[in-house]
Amino acid sequence: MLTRRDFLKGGLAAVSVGIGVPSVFARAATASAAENSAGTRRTLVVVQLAGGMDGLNTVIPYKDGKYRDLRPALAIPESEMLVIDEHAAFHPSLANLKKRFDAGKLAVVEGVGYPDPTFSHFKAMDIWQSADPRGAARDGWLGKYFESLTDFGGHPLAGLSVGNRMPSALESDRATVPSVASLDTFALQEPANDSNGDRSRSLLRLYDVYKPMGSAFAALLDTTLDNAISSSTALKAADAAYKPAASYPESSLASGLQLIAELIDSGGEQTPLRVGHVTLGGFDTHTQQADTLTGLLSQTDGALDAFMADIEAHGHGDDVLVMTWSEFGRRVPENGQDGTDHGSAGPMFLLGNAVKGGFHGEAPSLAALDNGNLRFSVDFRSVYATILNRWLEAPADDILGGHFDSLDLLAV
Amino acid sequence: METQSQDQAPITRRSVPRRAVIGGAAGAAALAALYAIGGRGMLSGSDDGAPAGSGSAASDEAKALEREEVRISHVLRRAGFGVTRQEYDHYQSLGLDGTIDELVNYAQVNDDEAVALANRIDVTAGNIGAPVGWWLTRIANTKRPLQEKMTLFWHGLLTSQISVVRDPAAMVAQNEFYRANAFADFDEILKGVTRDPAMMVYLDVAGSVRTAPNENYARELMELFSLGVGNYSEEDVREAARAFTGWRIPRQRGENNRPILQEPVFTPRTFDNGVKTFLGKTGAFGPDEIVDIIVEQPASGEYITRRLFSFFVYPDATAEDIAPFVEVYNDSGRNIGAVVEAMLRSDVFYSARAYRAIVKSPIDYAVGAVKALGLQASASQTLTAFGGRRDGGGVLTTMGQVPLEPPNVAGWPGGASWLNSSTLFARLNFIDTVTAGGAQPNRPRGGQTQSQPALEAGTTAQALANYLPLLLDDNIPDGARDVMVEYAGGSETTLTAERLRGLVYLILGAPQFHLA
Repeated sequence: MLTRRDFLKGGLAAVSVGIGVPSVFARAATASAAENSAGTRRTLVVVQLAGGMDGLNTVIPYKDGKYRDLRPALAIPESEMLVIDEHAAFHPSLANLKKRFDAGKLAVVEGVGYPDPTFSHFKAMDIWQSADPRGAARDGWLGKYFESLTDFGGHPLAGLSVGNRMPSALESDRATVPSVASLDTFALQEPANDSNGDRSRSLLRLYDVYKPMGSAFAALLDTTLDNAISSSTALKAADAAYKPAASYPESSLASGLQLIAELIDSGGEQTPLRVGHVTLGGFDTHTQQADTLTGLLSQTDGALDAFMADIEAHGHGDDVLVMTWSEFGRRVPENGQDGTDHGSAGPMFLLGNAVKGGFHGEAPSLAALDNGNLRFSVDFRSVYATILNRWLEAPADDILGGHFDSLDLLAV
Repeated sequence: METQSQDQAPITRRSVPRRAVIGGAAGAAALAALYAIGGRGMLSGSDDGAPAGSGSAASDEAKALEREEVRISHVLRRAGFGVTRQEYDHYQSLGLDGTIDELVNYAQVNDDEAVALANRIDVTAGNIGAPVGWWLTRIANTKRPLQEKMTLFWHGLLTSQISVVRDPAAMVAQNEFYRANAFADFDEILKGVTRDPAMMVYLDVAGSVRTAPNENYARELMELFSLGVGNYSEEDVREAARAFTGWRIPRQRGENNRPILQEPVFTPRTFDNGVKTFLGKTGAFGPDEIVDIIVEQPASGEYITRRLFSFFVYPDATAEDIAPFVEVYNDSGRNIGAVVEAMLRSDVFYSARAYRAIVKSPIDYAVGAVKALGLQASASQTLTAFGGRRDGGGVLTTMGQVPLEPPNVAGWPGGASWLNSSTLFARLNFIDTVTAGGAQPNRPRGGQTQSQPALEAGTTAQALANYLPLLLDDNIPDGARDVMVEYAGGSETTLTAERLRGLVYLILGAPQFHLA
């Protein structure tokens, strides 16, 4: 596909190459051979559960007597929880995910963390998003993945974040992807009687003229406008072609996932969307945790179930992998306000036809706490490495800045 | 419970691209045609793909600071929210020193008119749009712009979210505390906010008891409000949390089931009056002693000075950059007013590195546009209504900054994070709507019709002579001026209403207007 600069340089001759291709996602004539590999058919959907999800009341070690001792007010009664096996049960709100677990399509990685955990939301999120426990890396791990794509240049929609903030996981100096809060407003408004687009064309030229001035933000402004216009055009086309095949609940997470489903579906067999990102916040349950967590997990359960049903009905069930994460779990002993403070390790969920369903990693012991916090057994970067290597077929060591052994989480 | 916001995002570390990204393709024929029609003559120097950032062009741009009128506009972007035509003339007549005198001695400026205008809004009525509109009315109409800018600074640092606190009057009371103490000593501000009912609810001081202290406030007080990570231990968090126990906030039931927060009540029985060891000191500390110990840490003076420097001067300052201002902070008894005044009068504030070095926040951008168009009196309707969003933020929601509703306890990360495809569209579409003076697009049935912008008519040359000094320091590349003249149909053409609106749109949408 063509860039703005191509248009500006080549005029109509260059433009005509882009017109008339059947899909707005069609590749340029120079597409590389690597595109036929499985990694380019697949999509990773990242669901960030922000605020620090209480892993212990999500995947419950209900047979451990210490669970009830340390959580006198917050422990979930055995009669309400969704028992999986001898060691663990799900929170009562996760009925749909339990069905998927029973069908072997949900992998739960227990005890995920990293050495010397921080208890700051912001440092912890930085660490997860940059995949660097020193917090020194500049770009996000998925931003680096975008940089690794040889054909990124023609695909502004290789990644998409839902919302009006860009998560730092997707940030990159060299490979910018859009964030979309709502399709309704994601386009440049034009005046009613300006059929030639005089005003928009003039505006774009103001950005072009300013860029070489060397001001700190001139290039960013130019790039952002470029990317916004090209991706809005593509998104509009995707929206026109999409019909949901599942009934989504009314929630922001569900509508965010639906937007991602739209893009996956519109791309057909050659979907260029490699990574979709959506965030659900509110997990920082310092007080009155029970109702808040129930509401949030219920929203997560309903939205993910509808999304997977939609994806499967459109025939993309084998090509979509969902990964959830939260910056930390919560303190094992509850506090005096029916809540929990910041903690450490927690579970991650991987969802899709491609996963090896069941439990992975090691459930952290409640008998060997570190200052009231769980000790981790799986480094989150091993999960990233698994997904990069085996799902996205990307150079995990380069992206993560070191080698992490892949885990046996995927049947691909 | 500080993270109710939907799209909580962390503090980003994003920096400016080192080189241009060829962002991608445009698919639609219409857009393609649009590009193709564009002449290439105006694009000299930009279509060779050369990396941006040769230092000379940037310092050429900053040469504008040699002119006093540009220095005045520069300080009013940082220490205010841009200017109306009348304000521009007023401050220009004062000169730079007189402008700074009036900004920092704000208590001597009568602001009754702005207060009265804002107080027409009943902040306890309706959705959160009411207190947001109340504050935006103050911001857009105040004669004390630096006091409002400082109020925004404190709100962005010592954050609370109205969605969590849920009592609009308590949020407004917190806002008034920041306004009244905008230039106070740092310890007074920290002690005051520790007793502020909205903050006590937001970060769970209210209800924290001796038997199981809640760590939320203790942690964020040090990490985000006063010291920064690395300057305290986990043990300090636990010990400080003990000192913040014993308080509760009684509540009455207000409209729409919202709470009405009452004054804090101290219950000795639930307070941990034992000995604590905190940042190397030992004693039976309470909240005020914890703050006293924090502000004695050198890291605290450096932290708050750096935050002020990034807010007013430029981001990514070195230790050498901030050292003189840390000295002012220490010499003045930790007085914030003294530090800010020293910054506004410093050479570094008018250095090339500081020029257009800050990305305007959505509030800066939108209020600046509203004032340029003479719509400040109706700022509340204009800024909170478009889009008719339930959360009351209107266009500011899509731009990414609803006052009284920061994304999380860390506030807005600012800088490059203000700019992404969604927020840039939101800014440009706001300018489109506001210059057109049209009805709100998303409220087809009735809704409010906004006021018509007051545009200064005439020829293209006259319009540029009016608006470029007011809004862009009369400092844009020749090529940009050519684009504007060409759009308008020539320099001496008398502008039609449509082309005049379009020209003002181009000026407000121009890349330079996104920068402060």
